[in-house]
Amino acid sequence: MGKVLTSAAVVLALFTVHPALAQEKKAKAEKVTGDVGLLDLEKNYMIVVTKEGKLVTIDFDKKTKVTKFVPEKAKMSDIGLGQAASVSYVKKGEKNILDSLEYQMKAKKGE
Amino acid sequence: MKSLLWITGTALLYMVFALSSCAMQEEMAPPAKPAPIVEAKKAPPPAKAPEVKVKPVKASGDVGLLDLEKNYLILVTKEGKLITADFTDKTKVTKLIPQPAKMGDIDLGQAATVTYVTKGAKKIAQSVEYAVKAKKGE
Repeated sequence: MGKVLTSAAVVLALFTVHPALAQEKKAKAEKVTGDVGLLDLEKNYMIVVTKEGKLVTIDFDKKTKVTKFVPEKAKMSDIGLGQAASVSYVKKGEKNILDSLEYQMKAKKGE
Repeated sequence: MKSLLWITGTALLYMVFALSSCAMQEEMAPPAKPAPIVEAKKAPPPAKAPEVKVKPVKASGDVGLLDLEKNYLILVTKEGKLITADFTDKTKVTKLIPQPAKMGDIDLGQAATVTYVTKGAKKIAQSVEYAVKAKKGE
């Protein structure tokens, strides 16, 4: 009887703990874009001010991967189809004339 | 009778003389001043229409078509809108190359994209990405 109770308790514990564990695993990554309004390198946190004026306080640690994107001149022929790009153009009559085009290179694996 | 004829003749002569002098006076009238020479003023050039600075439009999306012979591309935005735009030699093309950086490299006011996960009440940054602004002339 005692064994049955123990195993029942273990099974019950597994059922209750498992969803919590799963939830932690599934902690969904979210993205926020904005201007860095505060950066505390001692207390390891930053505040990002979104376009909408919302303040998002985020902690960082040694594991936080920081990447800077350095601009370099390129040619139109360097662009691949399907490449994500940001453009700036002016309307002249019925035509759109490109002023500038910017695209991000994907980080190579391991970088 | 003779005196009557003489008077009439004198009067006629006088009249002829008077009329002829009038005619002469008319003829002698000072010539009309020549029309002043008016320099043909050049019509001022039509005022140039004030150059209205056309505001550039910004858009982001995926390059759906790129024709290097006809010099145009089609950008497909997230909303599925197709933007056809021509490019020239003057079109500035920039590629952004990712490089590892440190939190200490980030300046205040720097635009950045942060990916984070929420753990309890805290948000923990997994990654921070930011673009370095091109120096002038680059």
